[in-house]
Amino acid sequence: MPELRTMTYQVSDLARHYREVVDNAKHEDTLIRDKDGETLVMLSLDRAQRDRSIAGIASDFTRLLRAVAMSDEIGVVNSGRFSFASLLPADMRSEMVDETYAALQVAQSGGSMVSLHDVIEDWIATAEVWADTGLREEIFEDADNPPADVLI
Amino acid sequence: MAQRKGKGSRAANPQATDVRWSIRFSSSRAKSEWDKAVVDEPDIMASEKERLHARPLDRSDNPRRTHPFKGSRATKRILGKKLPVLQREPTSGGRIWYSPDKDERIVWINKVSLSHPKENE
Repeated sequence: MPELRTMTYQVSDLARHYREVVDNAKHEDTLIRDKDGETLVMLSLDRAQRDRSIAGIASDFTRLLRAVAMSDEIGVVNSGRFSFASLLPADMRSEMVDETYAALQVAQSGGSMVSLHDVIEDWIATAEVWADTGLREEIFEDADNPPADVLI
Repeated sequence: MAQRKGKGSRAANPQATDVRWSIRFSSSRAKSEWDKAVVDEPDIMASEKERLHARPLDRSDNPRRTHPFKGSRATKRILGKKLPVLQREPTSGGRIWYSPDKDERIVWINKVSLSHPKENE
């Protein structure tokens, strides 16, 4: 887990220094301690949505890993957004898991969410074509003698 | 539309970024599919052709519509050279699959289908 940078305020600061509290919350997680001792977190909507998105992807990814570990193909099909893994042969599935794990770690550390989404979307496109034998052969067959035409 | 490639037609410095990419076909089937798509959807294909000439590797205009295939097996051998394969989605059901050769600045068209194969099943 990346280290959580936080600033802690008392609930009374919301009345006296609300601008400072809100500005701080835009840049880092901001803790607000209530009089009863409970602590609340204030963070931007972008950050909250990002955290929720990563958690959702991580949850589905965990379901996939569990299913793969148990050789449970039904479980792979039911692994949410990673159900496309059922279309991949074992070696490509393994490559997909490694790459997704790396992208997930980058996103969790504050890196690009776009990269994580791109990795997943690219693998979905790959899996869909890979599952269609005729289409796959047409796209990937060796071209030893291509036409000489050049499109202008 | 398509012309025969003559000797010495390749750009002197294919690595230069301002040099437009040549577009070729990895098979006669791919060429026929491209020609049919141009007849069926001339505006879309004109736009796709320009994009392939100018920036076949660019995903910034719409990241979700250009996907490089993943995995060490998802490559195509053209004239003995192993190249990546990309999938472009010019329409919701249409697909263009192509292989960019960065060294030669050639885009090889592998297959064109303006109706997604699954819709024909």
